[in-house]
Amino acid sequence: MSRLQKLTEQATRGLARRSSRRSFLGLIGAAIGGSAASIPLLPVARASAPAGDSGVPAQSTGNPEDPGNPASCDYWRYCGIDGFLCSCCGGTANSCPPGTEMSPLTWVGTCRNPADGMNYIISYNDCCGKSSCGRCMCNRNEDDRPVYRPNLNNDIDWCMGTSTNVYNCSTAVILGLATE
Amino acid sequence: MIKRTLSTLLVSATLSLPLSLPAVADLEPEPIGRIETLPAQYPDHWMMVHDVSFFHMFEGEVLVVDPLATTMGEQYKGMLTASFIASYEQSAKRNEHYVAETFYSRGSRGGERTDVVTIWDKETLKVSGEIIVPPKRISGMPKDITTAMTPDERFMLIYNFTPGQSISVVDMEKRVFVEEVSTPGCGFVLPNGKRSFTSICSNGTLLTTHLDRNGKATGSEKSAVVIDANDDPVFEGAAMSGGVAYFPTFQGRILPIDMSGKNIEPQDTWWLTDESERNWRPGGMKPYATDSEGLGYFLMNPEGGEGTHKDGGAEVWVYNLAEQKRLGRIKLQSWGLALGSSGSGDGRLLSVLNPDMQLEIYRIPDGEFVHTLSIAPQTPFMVYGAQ
Amino acid sequence: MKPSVRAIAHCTLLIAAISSAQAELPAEPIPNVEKLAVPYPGSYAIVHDFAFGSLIDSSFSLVDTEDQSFKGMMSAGQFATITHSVARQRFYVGETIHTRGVRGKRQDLISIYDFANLALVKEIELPPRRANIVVNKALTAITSDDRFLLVFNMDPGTGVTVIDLDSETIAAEISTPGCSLVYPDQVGGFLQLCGNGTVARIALNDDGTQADRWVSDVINDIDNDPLSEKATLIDGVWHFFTYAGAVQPIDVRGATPQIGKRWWLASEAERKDNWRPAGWHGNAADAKGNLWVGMTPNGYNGSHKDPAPEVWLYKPGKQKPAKRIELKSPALSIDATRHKKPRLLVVNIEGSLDIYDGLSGKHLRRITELGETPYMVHAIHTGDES
Repeated sequence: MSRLQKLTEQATRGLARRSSRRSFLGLIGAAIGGSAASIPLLPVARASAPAGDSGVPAQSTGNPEDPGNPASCDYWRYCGIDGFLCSCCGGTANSCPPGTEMSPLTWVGTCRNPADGMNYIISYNDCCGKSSCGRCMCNRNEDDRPVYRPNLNNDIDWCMGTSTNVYNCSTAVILGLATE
Repeated sequence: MIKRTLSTLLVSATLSLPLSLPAVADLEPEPIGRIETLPAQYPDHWMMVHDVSFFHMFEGEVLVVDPLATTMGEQYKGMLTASFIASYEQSAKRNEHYVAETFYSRGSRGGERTDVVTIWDKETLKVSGEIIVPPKRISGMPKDITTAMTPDERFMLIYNFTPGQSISVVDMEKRVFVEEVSTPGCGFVLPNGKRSFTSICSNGTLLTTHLDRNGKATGSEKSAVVIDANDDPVFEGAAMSGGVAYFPTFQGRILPIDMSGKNIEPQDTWWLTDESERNWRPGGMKPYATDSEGLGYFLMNPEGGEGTHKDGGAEVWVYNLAEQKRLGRIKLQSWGLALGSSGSGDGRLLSVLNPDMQLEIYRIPDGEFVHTLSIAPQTPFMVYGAQ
Repeated sequence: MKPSVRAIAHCTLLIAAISSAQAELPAEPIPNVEKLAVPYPGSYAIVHDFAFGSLIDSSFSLVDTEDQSFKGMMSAGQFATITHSVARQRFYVGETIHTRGVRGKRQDLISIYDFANLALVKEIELPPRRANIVVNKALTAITSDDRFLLVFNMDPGTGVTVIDLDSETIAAEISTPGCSLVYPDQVGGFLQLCGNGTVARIALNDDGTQADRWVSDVINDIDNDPLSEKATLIDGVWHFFTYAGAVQPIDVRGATPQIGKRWWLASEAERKDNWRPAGWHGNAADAKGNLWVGMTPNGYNGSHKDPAPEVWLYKPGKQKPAKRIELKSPALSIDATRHKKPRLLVVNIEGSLDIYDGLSGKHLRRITELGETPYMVHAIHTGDES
């Protein structure tokens, strides 16, 4: 086996492993949040996916009322998101990357904005028409319900009502305050 | 013509090769064009591993795997392709694999959509047929009740979501699409009776649809509300044992539904956990499995709570489902995200997907750890025992 | 209770209408799709994920090497190529797609995307024989007059499809027996490397058909020390590199290519240590004529595609490296931006993009998560040399 093969195989295997590990440990870590530090995997999850390790520089909305890093799974709006963050894919937390199409249909979650302590209705519109972005995988499942409650589920590819259902990334758009 | 040129090139290359070899070769020239086949009857401990290829959804695949083999080469027996979060079924009667999948005329960047059931020969792993179905099959994270075979293996049922909800009925004997049955407000397919199927409705009821011998719907009925779809919903799937579907709920109860007859019969719910253990909850991409003896296996998370239902678990708990009795707890080598099972008798195996996206193999019911598979799929979320 | 399209949309509108009045943060529009500011700054680059483990689902990512931002992507089928025209503000993606993913009818295409939206503008269907070859910059090219796109075909007969970029249709098919790839010259034609060691030059008529064909003497010792097909154009002179490290300049400023005098990348002593050019595409130049070449020590028969732990910088006209840049992580492929302060772009063996100051060699930043096997980086020559 040539040196190239060895090196690239190691590298790509490492890459694949790292990206999947980051993603799927990351999703666990993110989903469990600070509430379950006793889970032994959590430190590993944290270690394998520290903020900024994705190579995506921290972002800011520039609005102190909308705090946090939209390129990070911890951002408050992402409490029920599942997929690749559009903020890392050429879009933003509420817009799709160029050349994609935003699905008009989706499910809505409720997330608490730490700045004002209020619960907002967040619409997780998928961006469609290009293949998986593959960056900043994030899965959090607050108030997610099974697929047979479609309007409350994030497992569904919501690229519906678009010209294709090819999934690229996910946004988190503010629809308004939740009225309880 | 293109082919001829290429084969001429290859033939002339291979013909000229022996001439330049030394007179006494240690190794005989080998034939070109050999292609392996698989046994018509797969050993029942083999597993069908569905890699949904989350980062490249148009190149998903279903691997045929011998989970007891020790090297990667021996574990990996072959593969079928499975495009865009496909759904896998198989028929023991016809010895075929079925993949319900979605294509676009321009691949991953769209174009015209075509949904098909692709039929694969189990021995050659070649496509032996294709049935075009309405381009409506649900796309989303895989669930094992997205498609189903009727118990007589005659019809394949495919859940559609556009977001209008319906079931496509496909005659797998005649290899034709039969019809689309509307199931408003209800989704998924669990076969019951001879030729009926049950869907889960968003209001917590169950909808049972009956088919005639040609696959035409003859009627349907709805159950009372049996699922607490808001506060303690059932997962999208059940541990099947003795004709009963044991649905785990997010909080850790079991809702048994007797599926053996034409009309389903919901039974009383019971808890997987004692009152003192309620922090343990089932969780994962597929947190349940049964073995060939009908024992139930549930992936349990010691830190269960709202939003943990996909997080997976640290242990697998083993139950005699009919007796509502826990038989044991298997402490996993690593955190588990999804379960699969295969085998029979002393050869029963459990596969557990870990966060490195590797599959760990355990002997069940005792839980002895065998090894972690060396095959390296990207995202092997679903595992089915070979039939 | 069927949650129809209308019902869900209606429901979300209702929520927005009821609650937005009291919200601290205003409701946000749906749909909302980004556009890119054009013209692009000179810091943009395309990273090509070959997707070796999932060949039918490759992609091109557009990144800003100045601030690490990811601007968007284009999906592509297998063995894709990318070429761009700044004047036309278009990307031309060559791709092969089968109707059933990995099986079915083969379709070869040039898919045209605009710079501002990365949106598909048009598809040109090709005869199904575009070369399906692992990422290689010489598989397609645009002629120097920005008139024709050249697509190299192999089935395994070799030829070139000529596409008129004004009408965006196929203009001509040229059979090029024995000769491969496309390297545009400066007067509307192109070079090819031939299997017998010659170099061919084809001139085109105004309709894209072949006007004239010129063939050099044998200049390429393919058996003993071949020219790599990974080459760089500097000021009208193609720079080819032999496996052992000789530079073969070919001046293509006129109608008849001038085969230049060879020189060595490495000194005699360095050649004794077997320093040789390396990388999947290990050479690049900027607007001023600075040349960067990926190099590996301890070269051997077969090391020519190995990753390069160093990149050597040659100032314009100089045949000795002005700088040996030790890379943070070995290079698969490199390119250079055309800034006043050129950036050396390196896709490394870890699958990320490293950005170096091209002249000092200082590592500036890294962009990660660019796909499974990002094998190539293309600086976009936007004309922005600020």
